[in-house]
Formats: sequence, structure tokens, C-alpha cells
Amino acid sequence: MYKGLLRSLVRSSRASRIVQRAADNKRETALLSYRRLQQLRAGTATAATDAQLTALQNADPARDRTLLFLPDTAPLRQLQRDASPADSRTREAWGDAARFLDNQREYGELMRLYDLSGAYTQQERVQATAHRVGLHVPQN
Amino acid sequence: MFLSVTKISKYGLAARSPAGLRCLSHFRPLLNSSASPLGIDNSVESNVQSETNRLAKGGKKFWKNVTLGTAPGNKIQVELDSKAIRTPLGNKLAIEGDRKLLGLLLQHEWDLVPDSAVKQHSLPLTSLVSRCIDLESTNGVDGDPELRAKIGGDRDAINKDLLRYLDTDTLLVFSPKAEYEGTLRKAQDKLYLPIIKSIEEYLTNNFSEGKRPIKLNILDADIHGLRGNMQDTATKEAATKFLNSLSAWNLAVFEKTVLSSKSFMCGILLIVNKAFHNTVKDLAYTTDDIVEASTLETIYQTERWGEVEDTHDVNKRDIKRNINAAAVVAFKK
Repeated sequence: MYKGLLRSLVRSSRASRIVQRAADNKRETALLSYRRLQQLRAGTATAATDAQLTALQNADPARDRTLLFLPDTAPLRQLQRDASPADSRTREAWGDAARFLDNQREYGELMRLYDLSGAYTQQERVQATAHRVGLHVPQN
Repeated sequence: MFLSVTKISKYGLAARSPAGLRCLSHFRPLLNSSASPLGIDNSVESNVQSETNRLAKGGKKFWKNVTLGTAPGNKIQVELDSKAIRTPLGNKLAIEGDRKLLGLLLQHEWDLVPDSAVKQHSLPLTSLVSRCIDLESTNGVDGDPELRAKIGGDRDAINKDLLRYLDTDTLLVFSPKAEYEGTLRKAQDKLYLPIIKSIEEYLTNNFSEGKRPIKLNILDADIHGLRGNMQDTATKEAATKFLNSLSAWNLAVFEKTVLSSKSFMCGILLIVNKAFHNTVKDLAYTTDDIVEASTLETIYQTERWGEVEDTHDVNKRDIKRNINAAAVVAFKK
């Protein structure tokens, strides 16, 4: 049950953590580019900044393995220690929590898929509508 | 024929009960006491400066760290950058210390909010817990009657609205034997009859005046055809007594369950199993059982006619997430 809840937590957080990580990377890239410009102007070496920049540009948050783990499992483990193994009510509640997280995640995915939440651009929306009836939008 | 058309229509879940009026619920809220998503207060312009209102209006993330702090009275509170989140009415989002699991899930929920626009459906737990807390505060000893009216928190009004769901309860409506070669009816008999019997017993033993036996009226399509269903006065009295016995917190959970399952009895099952330490053996049901009972007819329809995308799949997740969220909020160690 503990593992099930952990799995659901990771799964439900993964998509949004990828988005957050990508936004962080973008911010970091902007900062480094600015620093590189300053270094160029001052005439100092930019090799270290360049290396950092390429590393950032090559980083793909979707393949980041650290996102397959929760940043902090200590409170959950504490919760598990507090619960006695014979307590079926607590175990049931953990199952409910996992089911809630799974369905909440799937619900959000479906909402995005069916464009009920306005996550698509106009272009993507037109394309999706065309795909539904088996058509493609002409290129330009 | 007309019924089966409405059933697979976009409003499938709402139109499930033969009391055709449900179709209207899509256009006109059945309950004026229903909590809006995110706990947004749409009724009156609200200038309470609370995190939930700010997020609802701005739709942008304005914090970096979400933590759990402690509050007086051995409570846990969810904090954004070490400031407590407040509900739409301005109460602190603080829960009792023995709801640790709920606290962790609330923290997780706020952690997940992406940088960009916040969706109405992304904070279901916060929305429900806010309703619980606001109901508690407005119905407390020094609750403000004006605020109570503003959030639709008057218990008599809530009772009255919820009791209407007992009249046309999903679990009390039986399909004709001719439909689906009798398989649906057989499944309904198997699933619903024991629940009806044990809920009758539960109400009789705990909430009936002088322990007079309570009888729930069912609507059998073979005998009664298409008509509304009504419960007796004694049944309604017992059900009202049950509602009055609930704490404000549990009433909000009950309301959420009834609104998503369209069934008063599913609400009783959830509260008895998740909020109380269930001592009634015949009333032991899991959230999966509750969801199955409330969507049995849809399950058979989609098996026969196929799943309509953008409708059945979304509704299925919606009811499951709502019932399980209610179970998590009800649970207390």
C-alpha cells in the first residue's frame, strides 16, 4: 500500500515537475547567456559558462531520471512507521489516496486531450479537430 | 427510446435517473449550496484577501515553497512560503493533527500547480477542505449568519436540498427486466438490494423515532413505469436526523459524495465507512463499490454501445476522483 501510494505520487507529479524543470532551465539559460555576454565584454574566459550553457541546452527534463523519485519521502515514511500493520482502516485510506491521485491525473490528462481546459494554441486546436475526422491541415 | 438517447448524450451522468428533471441540472444548479471548484465565491464579489481567492482570480503561481506547519490546537496547516493558505472566507487552511495523510496530499496538490495558468479542476482536495473549514466556522458558536448565507452554509437549507436526492436515489431505481436481456436488472438486484436492506436497518436502529422500521421506497420500472419516486415522512425524518448528527466537516464530505454520485445512500455508505469506525458489518463498502453502485447503469450502457469519448471516460474519472477525495478528507486516524 505504501509503495502504491508512492508510485501514484510520483506519477501524478511527474508531468508538472517536467514543466517546472523546463521553465527553470529556461531561466537559467537566460541568466548564463547574460553572464557570458558580460564576460565577453570584459574580455575574460567564457569556457566555463559555455560548458554550462551547452549542458543546459542538452538537458531534456522528460528524460531526467531524478524525476522518477520524490524529492522528499521522509514524511511519508514517518506516516508508514506511525501506522500499525494490523490497521486495515489506515491501509484502506492509503489505497483511497492512491486511487484519488491516479484518477485526478488521468482526469487532467483527458481534460487536456479533449481541450476542455484551453491548454492548446489555436493552431493545435484546428489540427486536433481535423485529425478527429481523419483529415490533415494543409501545410501553410 | 427517449431515455436511452438522453443517457448517452453529453449529459449522460446527470440524466441517469428517470426523474427527467435532472437533465435541467446542467443549466440550473440543483443545489444553491454546492461548493464551486477551487472554492471560488461567485455569488457575491469577494474582497477577502486569501490565497485561494488570489489564485482563482490571477490564475498564476505566486509562491515557491509549499510546506506543512503547525497551528495552535495540535493542527497542521499548509503554508506557501511559510504563510498559511487561507480559504475563500479567510480562514486558515488548518486541519486536525490526526489527518496527516490529508495534509501531505494537500501539500502535494499545491506543489503540482504549474507555473502557467491554473485550471479550475486542479485543486479538488483544497476546494473540499475549504468548504469543510468554512462550513465549520460559519456554523460554529460565533458564526456570522451573513457569511453562512453567502456560502450556502445554512444546515437546514443543505438538508432540504440533499433530501431531494433520497427521493430519486440512483440505488433505489431499478431497470426493466427486458433491458440488456435482464443482466442489468440482475446486477442491480445483487448490488442494490443488500445495500437498501442494511441502510434501512441502519436508519431504523440509529435514527428512527421509537425504532419504528424505516422503509425506503424503490422505483421499479416494470411495476411503476416512468414516474418520480418519493420517500415517506418517517424516512425523511430519520434521514434528517442522520444529517443533523454529522459534524460540519462530515456534512461537507457527505454533500460532495451525494453531488457526485447522485445518491444519498452512497453518501451514507462513504461516511459510515470512512469517517466513522464502521461497526456495522453489513455496511462495509469500499470506494470502488460505491462508485460501481452509482454508475452501474452507465457501465452496462458503455459495454453494449461503446464508450463515447469526451463523455464517459471523463465522467468515470471525475466521479472516481471525487469519491476517493471525499474518502481521504473523511478519514481520521
